[in-house]
Amino acid sequence: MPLMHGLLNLIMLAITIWCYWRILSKAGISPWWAYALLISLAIAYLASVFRSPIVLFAPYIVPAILIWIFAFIRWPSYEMTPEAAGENRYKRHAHRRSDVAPGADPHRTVNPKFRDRVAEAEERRRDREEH
Amino acid sequence: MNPVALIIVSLIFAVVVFYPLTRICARAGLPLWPALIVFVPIIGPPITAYLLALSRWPNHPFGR
Repeated sequence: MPLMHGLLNLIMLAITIWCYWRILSKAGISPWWAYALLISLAIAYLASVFRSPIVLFAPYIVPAILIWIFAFIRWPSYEMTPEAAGENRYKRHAHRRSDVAPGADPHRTVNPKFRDRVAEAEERRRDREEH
Repeated sequence: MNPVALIIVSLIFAVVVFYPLTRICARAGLPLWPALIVFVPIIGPPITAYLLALSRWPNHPFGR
């Protein structure tokens, strides 16, 4: 019976993490924060090991903190315009500083293998026309 | 585990998170009743999470 109870709790936790994942994705926040709910599992385990009465509150502590934080932080996807949806759809934030000014990121270099073939063809065509 | 204690703890959790949930619903453009469901003991909080996760948010810029 305790095993079944624990298994049901784990299934419930997995479904809740999936829900938090979707909610955070909609808000434009990294959905990996949903895994912070696993901390409540650790708290519940420790409380049960030490036979602490906190075991009653344990599953609720982390979700309550997450909900309070989520309600008051800025939601990046709400700051994007629908016109930017195509370009920025898979980006975590609307833009990085280095997207606007590539020189701002000193580690950003262009891989020499990725040559701009269209520009090269255009240059060759121009050379042929000139000669 | 005493079921009455579980229900009381669940209700305390509901009181604590009710205000931020109403704020989340308002920002998402949803009505307030999903936030009220959190007061259903034990199964209320996950149901609220499902409703927020699966519903379309009218205020979302891309209509998700």
